[in-house]
Amino acid sequence: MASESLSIQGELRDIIALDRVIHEPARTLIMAILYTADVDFLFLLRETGLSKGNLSSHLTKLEQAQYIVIEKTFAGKVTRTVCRQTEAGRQAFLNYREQLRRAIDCLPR
Amino acid sequence: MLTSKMDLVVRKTRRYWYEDGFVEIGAGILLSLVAVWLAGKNAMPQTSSWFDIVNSGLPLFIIVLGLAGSVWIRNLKERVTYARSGYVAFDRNGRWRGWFAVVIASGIGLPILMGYIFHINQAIVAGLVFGCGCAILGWYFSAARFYGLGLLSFLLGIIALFLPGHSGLAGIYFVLGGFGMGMAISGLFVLRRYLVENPLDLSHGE
Repeated sequence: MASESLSIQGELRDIIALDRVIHEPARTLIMAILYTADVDFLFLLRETGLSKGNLSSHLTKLEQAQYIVIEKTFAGKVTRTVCRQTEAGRQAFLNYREQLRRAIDCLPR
Repeated sequence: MLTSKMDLVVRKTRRYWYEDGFVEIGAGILLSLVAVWLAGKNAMPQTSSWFDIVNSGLPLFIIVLGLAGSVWIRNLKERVTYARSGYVAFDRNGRWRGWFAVVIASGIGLPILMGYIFHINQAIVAGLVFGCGCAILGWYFSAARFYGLGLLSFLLGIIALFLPGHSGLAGIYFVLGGFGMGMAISGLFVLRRYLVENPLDLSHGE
């Protein structure tokens, strides 16, 4: 009984320990895209389906957590805002993926 | 629902370089021109003063075409694709573009090499190399049309066996030319679909 209780507490810790910065559907999707490639704002806008304001807000949270960097570059005369995942962000995403997998495995079938 | 949407988006990001059809159109034109070059070389009398130039100039021709095509595709993507559906940087994962170039280069180089060294029918080798290469790309990028191109390549290689004068280069420029045209046409259909699904929206800005 005591060992079962300890085991449940351990499983709950996995769920509680999920990275709250990434554990939000829109930000999870953004991090998944940026894990695959560096992309610009327009690409994220179209693929996430978020509004400009909403997307900007999520990107700001990820930038504040130092999971991504946002760089303004020029392509000819056109400004381009490119989002790139940092090394810390990549590691955080991999950790989140592992934590989520463990948390889901704990759920009753 | 989130995981299936995420899976779709990640796959689309991976194959974004091929989303607009420009790479296929460029590769198709390159292969067709290489086929024309080889056919021209074959038709030229060996005593002609141009024969040696044409005979040894193929690698340079391919390199020049490849570089020009690369610049052309980049410019088109800047003007057409990135303005419509956004920009994806492939420098970090350049291997995605690299593999397509490997397939094209292998499809041209291996048959010629194996024909001269091992006397294996070059058309069949070209058909097999392009076919396998396209099948792998189709699996990796989840793009069904690459499977179709791979099948086309196989079929062309087999058809070439039954053509008169199929041995040696005659068959290979049938396969290269046919596959090149097939790829270019496929690219045009992809481009048409892309333009319809991604109209230029000037309200999308930063």
